[in-house]
Amino acid sequence: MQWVSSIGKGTLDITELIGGLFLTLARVLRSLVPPRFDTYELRRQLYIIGVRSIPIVILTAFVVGIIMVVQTATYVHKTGATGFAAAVGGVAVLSEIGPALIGIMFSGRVGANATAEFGTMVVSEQVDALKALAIDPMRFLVVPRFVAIVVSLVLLTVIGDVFGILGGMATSHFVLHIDWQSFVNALLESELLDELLVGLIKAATFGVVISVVSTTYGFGVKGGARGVGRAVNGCVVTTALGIFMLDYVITYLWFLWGG
Amino acid sequence: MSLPLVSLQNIAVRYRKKQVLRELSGDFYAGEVVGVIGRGGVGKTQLLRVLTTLLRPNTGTLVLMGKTVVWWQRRTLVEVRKSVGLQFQNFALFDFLDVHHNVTFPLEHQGILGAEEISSRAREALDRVGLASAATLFPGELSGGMRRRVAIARVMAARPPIAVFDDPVAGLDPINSAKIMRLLGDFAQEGKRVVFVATHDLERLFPVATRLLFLHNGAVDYDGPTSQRHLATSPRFLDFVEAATETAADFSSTV
Repeated sequence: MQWVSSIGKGTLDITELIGGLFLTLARVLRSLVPPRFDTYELRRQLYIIGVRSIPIVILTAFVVGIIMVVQTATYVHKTGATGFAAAVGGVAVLSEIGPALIGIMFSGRVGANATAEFGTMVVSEQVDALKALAIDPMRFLVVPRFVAIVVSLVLLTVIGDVFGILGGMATSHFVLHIDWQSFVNALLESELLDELLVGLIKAATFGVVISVVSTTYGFGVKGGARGVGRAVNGCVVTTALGIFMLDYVITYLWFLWGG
Repeated sequence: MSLPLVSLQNIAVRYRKKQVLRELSGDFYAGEVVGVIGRGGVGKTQLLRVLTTLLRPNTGTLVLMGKTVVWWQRRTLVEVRKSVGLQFQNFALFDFLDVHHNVTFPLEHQGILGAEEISSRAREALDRVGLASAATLFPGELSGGMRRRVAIARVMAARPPIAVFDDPVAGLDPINSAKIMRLLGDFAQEGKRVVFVATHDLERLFPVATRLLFLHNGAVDYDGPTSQRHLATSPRFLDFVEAATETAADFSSTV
């Protein structure tokens, strides 16, 4: 009967996690109304989370753009449909691979870091010290980071989109020998505004996921340094799962809506 | 007699089926230095956490500054927490702030005093604990003893009517231990406040504490003036005091 007990424990753990995630989301949203938070801390977080992530996002997006166009190379060579490279590259970068991959990169850099930082603060009683000083840890620690993560991820996705397309354009030119103007024309003809929009909606949603998951795991740390390690591990896995699942949901809804 | 700053009424705390605190009651007044003593694991830290509203008791009532603490009322909780200062056993310093800003942090967030007054209070508190020259260092750059003194300065700068110190002299050298303990005594007298001190260093506590609260198995075994401790009838309390002072004397004679 060991397996029955394992299933029961697993179910309880998952239920507790999902409940915890929704509870954290509710607390964060509640702390956002009225929007009163430490502006110094918000600026600091925007710099640490957003500005410092720009190089890695540019690199990731540029390489993704290259890969997307290289993937289409065989088909383009066979058919001579040069506009296809721009269309596929554009759609993939703007609506799908761009936000998802940048989200995953971002969760590894920012989400894991937030979990470790919150977890260490819990273990070293810094969170209790805030409470003892009549300071709401949610408002002081989490809300500025939540806003910074969501805003940064949306803006970084825009930057990533630009560099992803530039990567695709460069590859089209140097590998597939498509001239710059043709690529731009094909891109504009593809009318990718909807893709850009859905990509940004995804980026904002992934930002919420990264923030809520990292906060839930960070504030739930028990048992010292080992607990912090376990929490970071759990945060990375759960965030990746959340990003892929919500990516599917948003894409499906967009498809139903007629995208 | 004036109103008590702290009033415990039948406080009981249960943790994982274990009774951590049992039916604790008592009134504590301005000017008192209360030594919270007892063997390890008898509930001293839990009692201090209840006093600072960080731990919600299962039963009983806590009254701080004449206000009954209602744990689910955020506004009341925030209000009473502003009148309580806690020095954590593990310091709980904010590692993203330097020493000076760790001390000014509570005052800045209360938003009552001006920047100049806050800064001056921080400098004064750091000076009193002998850390004026360490103001620009970060907690990670300090020794354990220095961190403990910063945590004490943080409470002192805020000047709360109820100040709670959890093991304030653990790990400090004898000179700093004596100095800090005297400082806590002065601190209670200065501002008409009640100071709670949990420690095992009875030798240094006795000259400063006006009242002793001896806990055994989560219950109060002795509650009385320090000066009349020899009149206590609890054998456990007398054994504890004797053992603690004997150990200190033995240690002194070997040094």
